[in-house]
Amino acid sequence: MRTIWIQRAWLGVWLSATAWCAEPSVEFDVQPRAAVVGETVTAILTVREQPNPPVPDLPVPEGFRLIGMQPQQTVNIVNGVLQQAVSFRFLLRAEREGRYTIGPFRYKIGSKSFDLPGVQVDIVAASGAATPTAAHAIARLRISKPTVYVHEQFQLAVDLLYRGVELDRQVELAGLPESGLKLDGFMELPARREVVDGQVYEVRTFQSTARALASGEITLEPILRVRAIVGRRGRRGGDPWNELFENFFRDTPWDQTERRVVELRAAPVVLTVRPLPTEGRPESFSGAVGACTWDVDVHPTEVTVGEPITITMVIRGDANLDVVQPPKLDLGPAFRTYDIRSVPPSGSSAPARERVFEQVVIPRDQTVREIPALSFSYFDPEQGVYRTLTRGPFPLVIQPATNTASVVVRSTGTSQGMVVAEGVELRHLKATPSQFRRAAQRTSELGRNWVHVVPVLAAGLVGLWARRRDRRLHDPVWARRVRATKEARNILQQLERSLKRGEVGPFYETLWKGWTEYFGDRFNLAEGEADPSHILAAMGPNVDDHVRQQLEELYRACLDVRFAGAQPSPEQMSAQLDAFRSVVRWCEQRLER
Amino acid sequence: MRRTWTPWRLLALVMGLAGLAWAFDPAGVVQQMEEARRLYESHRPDEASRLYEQLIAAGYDDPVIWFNLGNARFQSGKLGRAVVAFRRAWRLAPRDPDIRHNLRAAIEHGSAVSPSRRWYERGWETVSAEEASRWGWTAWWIGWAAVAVALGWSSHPVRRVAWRVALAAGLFAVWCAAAVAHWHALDAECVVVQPDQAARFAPLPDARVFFTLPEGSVVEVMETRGEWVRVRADTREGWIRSDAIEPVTG
Repeated sequence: MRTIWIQRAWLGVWLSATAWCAEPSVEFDVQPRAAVVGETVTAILTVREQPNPPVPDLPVPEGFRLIGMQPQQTVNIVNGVLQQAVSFRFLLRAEREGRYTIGPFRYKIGSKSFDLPGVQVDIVAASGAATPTAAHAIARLRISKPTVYVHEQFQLAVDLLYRGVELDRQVELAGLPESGLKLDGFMELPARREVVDGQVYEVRTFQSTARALASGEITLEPILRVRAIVGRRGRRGGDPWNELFENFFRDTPWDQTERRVVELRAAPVVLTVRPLPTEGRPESFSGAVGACTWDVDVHPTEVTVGEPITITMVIRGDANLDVVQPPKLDLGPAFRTYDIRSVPPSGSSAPARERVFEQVVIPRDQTVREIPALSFSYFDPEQGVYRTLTRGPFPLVIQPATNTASVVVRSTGTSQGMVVAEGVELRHLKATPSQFRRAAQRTSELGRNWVHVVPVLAAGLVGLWARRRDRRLHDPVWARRVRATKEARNILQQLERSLKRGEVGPFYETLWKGWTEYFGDRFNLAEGEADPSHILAAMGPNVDDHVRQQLEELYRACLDVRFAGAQPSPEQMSAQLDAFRSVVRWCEQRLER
Repeated sequence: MRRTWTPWRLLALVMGLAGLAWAFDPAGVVQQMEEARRLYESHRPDEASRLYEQLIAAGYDDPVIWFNLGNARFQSGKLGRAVVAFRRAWRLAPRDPDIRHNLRAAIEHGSAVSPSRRWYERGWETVSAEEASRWGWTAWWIGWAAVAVALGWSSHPVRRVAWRVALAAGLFAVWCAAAVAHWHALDAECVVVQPDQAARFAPLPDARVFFTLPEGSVVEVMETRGEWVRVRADTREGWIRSDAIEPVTG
């Protein structure tokens, strides 16, 4: 219990101390700044870091009537720091049309006084606001400068003004040039009101930082695509719960609102882009355009020869820092210089307003006394001149190196010696090998040798052979037919030999053997079926008459010699050999294989 | 019995003599290497470099010679040319830890730019072009032999194994072919041999400087126009003078 009280006491002391230490500040604003007669505008005076501030005495212009004041207190703890604020919200009803200024006035807190500027408010007649007009929504383009230099940054804002129509939150921006202009991401500014042609419009502004990449004239004519809500299906008007559900189901299949895409084209604006002047351009200019500052830090400043020194260069400002090249440093032969590297910004709070470059340099000998003065140039577009910032020189104290330029040492754990050259540890020379390779020995050109086609061909041949083998195994009809051709060739050779020798018996025995084997295999006939009737039936209907006749004569001649003891003359034998050859050739050529 | 000099015997004689000539080192390569080592260790790297370069000019393309030449050049302060020699040695023997170490040390010493590699490219660079070619063709022959066995063998288990061998050999051959192609693509590599070369947007001496290439940076030559070359260093491209770079492959 006692601990709790101590903690509370400490908290009270801490809150009081932070409140007492902080400097009070006062802000004044009026929203909206455009309204119709009868509407209420709110003048807000916010006092920060001041407990119990006095109620301000707000001067109310003639066209307004003060209808009430609501004080509001807020306390926040941000990063362990107490932030408290008291807001006085004055509700002012607009009584008459016209342009009014609320303020300026002086607000006193004790002995301190704050001069607060006036805020201009436009009030239009209620009848004018209620009059329907054709243009309920318009797009407008604004640029901060009509004439800029190449790479100079400027603000580009696209306003969406609308009245009397409800628009979706989502807005699509198109029509800006895709080249020649670099745009950062668009950011939506707080919504506001504006009087245009006597009408009060709600205004949404989308702003981007832009930069022209080439000189010339660029016509900007952006298009805003937005979905207008034209009606609601089955809506019970004025029901806040209904509104809540509509928002929840927006852009889902259960969305009950009917929308129509509206395309708003802004009036074109011509941007004139001037080139950077070449006259007076300093050598150290590296592309920065804008307002820049430059800081250089060198550390350490006391080193020995061979030790690195880091030069840190920071460029800040409203400029095209993302494309700025690092300043070129010419430190001469006294330093070994490393490549400049860009260091990412340390904090996320400063994304594009700061560039940090680091360069490591190493003094080569102890005669070096300083890093000479370093310069950075940028182009100031406001004045149209180049400006050069110079920092340094930076004095150095360089001690002589303790080791020699190259020391051979033996490292443990490896047979390879180590050599330290220019502060770098290198592996020592390799031992001389017994053989050396020559350039001509390299075999990487072996791919051009056609010998490597051999295995492909061999595999192909094996494949063909295997296929034939498998078919022979699995297709006996085909196998017999293939075998018949070979048999016919052999039989014909044997018959020619027998005819030359004049051997009648062997001639006709061979002829009969050839007859049965060839025709049996050729037409897949069973043993005993090799007679003319079966052979002719197997040959099909389109057999030539002379083939039919030769077949029958051959068959009869064989039977006569074998069983009737006939003795044909050599001329008859020769004629029968020709007949057999003719029949075989006819079968091989005319019949299906 | 009378012996005749058939073509086969003559061929065997010529090959034997060539082998003997190789074995006995008539060019005195070993002596020259030892002399270069002595000069290097006597802190006379320029003279050592000259001896190594003589060997290379005589047609020797050995990783040991290139490696030692790189060391000698580094010791004499020629960082860019040392990187050329180390890079050349690395191409011939990419798995050699000493070569890899010295190449990396030389590039880091000059804060030079070296091309980044994807994982599969690093895989190809574990074998040299010569090894990849030799292994790839061996796999090619084995693969087709396996295909022949798979087609011609009647036993199903043997055929199944043969098809698997053929598939594995084919995949390996494709990988080797890709490695060879990768090494051939690297033939366009050059090394910046002069300090801090400005890479410009155009091949003109007064063109705007895009970035600076430190000595020892490994770049890829994309285009040549007169005395200017367009090089790519990692992801950036710029024009530099052709006399500021030296090709790795010679």
